[in-house]
Amino acid sequence: MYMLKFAKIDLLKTRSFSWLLLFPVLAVCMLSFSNDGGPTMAITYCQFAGIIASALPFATETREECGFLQMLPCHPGDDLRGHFLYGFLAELVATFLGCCALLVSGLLRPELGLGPVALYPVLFGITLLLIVVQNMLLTFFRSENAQVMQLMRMVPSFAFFFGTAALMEHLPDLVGRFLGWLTLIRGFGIAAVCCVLYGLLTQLCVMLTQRKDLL
Amino acid sequence: MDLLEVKHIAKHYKNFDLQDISFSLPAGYIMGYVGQNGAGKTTTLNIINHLIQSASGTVTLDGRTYDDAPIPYRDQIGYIGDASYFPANLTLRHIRGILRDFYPSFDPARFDRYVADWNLPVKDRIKSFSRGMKVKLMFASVLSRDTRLLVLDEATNGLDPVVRRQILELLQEYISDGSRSVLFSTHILEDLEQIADYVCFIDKGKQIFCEPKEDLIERYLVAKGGPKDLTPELSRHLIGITKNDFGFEALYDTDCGIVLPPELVTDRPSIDQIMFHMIQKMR
Repeated sequence: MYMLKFAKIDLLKTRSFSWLLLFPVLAVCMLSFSNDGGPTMAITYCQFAGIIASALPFATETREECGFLQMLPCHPGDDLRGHFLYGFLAELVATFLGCCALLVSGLLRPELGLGPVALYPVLFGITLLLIVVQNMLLTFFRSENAQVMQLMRMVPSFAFFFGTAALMEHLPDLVGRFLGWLTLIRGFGIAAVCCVLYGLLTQLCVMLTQRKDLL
Repeated sequence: MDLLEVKHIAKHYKNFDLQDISFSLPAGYIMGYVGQNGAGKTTTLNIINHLIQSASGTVTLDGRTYDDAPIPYRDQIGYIGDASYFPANLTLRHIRGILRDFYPSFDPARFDRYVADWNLPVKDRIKSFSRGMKVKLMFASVLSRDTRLLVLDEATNGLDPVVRRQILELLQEYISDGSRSVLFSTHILEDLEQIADYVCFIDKGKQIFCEPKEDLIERYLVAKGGPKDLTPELSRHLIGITKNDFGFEALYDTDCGIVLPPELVTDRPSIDQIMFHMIQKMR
């Protein structure tokens, strides 16, 4: 329960969901005026934004705020669980917005279609794994150096966006074989496994930071 | 049973060690926690608030440690820092919502009353508040809950005399029912003279003394005399001797076993003078 409350504070502090709305609009524009990448690139674009948004609770955290936020009564680790929950929700919303963008662009340019739908939950699962690694790095190696923090926040999102594009461009056979194997149920199965891993790694992160000073 | 008991806490950093700090604070009293910059005051308060972990020892609040019951422990402490700790882009309404979500004892009506009495802007972001407004908001957030211990870390620094006086009155009102206490770290020893019942003094991470203020003032005298009055025998027993062209000034412990020569002028010391001469002695 407390982690939900902490996720709510993250939402209030970062107000990221409002600017996250810009990305599906951009994705629709991309799909309407360009043939590059197609539907998959549009959804990865929104998920890329979701990865960036998921790191905001760590990026906006200041030392001074500890006197208030870390003093709130909760079970040890609930604040960290709240950050991770926020990251999960940000990515979920980003993926949902990406799907909405696909539907809208499908109406505007029916010839594009919806692309490999079964792949989208898999991409969601991959982004979750990237987020959990990113958040663990931000938790363990919190640095006073803004550039180091920036780097830790940027590498996973760019790796995902450009990695997906590079994979589709340079290894089309491998991607094709994978898409041939993939069904919607398998796609959701992979996403579910990633969600479970996300939860387990969050808990591991909480356990490892249990005796760590909050300041 | 004392409300707050700190036993043998310690913390080791690369350039600083907090060593074996122990004191207790009964309910209904105010303790001033004093020392120079970097003496370890904030480190001690952070250990009490459980923002950092002590390398040894225990802190109990109303007989319970943080590990015994983390939620009631935090619920019973009201912390006010030297700078605003609220997220700067939130508004007072957001803070009210967060307090309501987390603290079972939070009374929104009481919070609203403080906000109205102190004319705090409800819709503005906290980053636009003045220093005085931020301090008042911190007080509103802790006084609208049923806390048992207020921990203040240099909270009155940089405030104008009117706000400072209001705060000191609030603190005295807070402990008036005898069930609550205040631990107050400050540089402004004038505030301490006015409201503290106990004084705890630390220097370079070590506890120098922790005693009731009245006992301290009773025990020590400030002794002043001419240059010829300072004999080697007397020098050995005086604390923190400072010399000038006209003579010397030092602290005299009435329990030290010698009687001061009648030509010396003596006076009751202020906390400021006790601290100053103690530090002189140690340097």
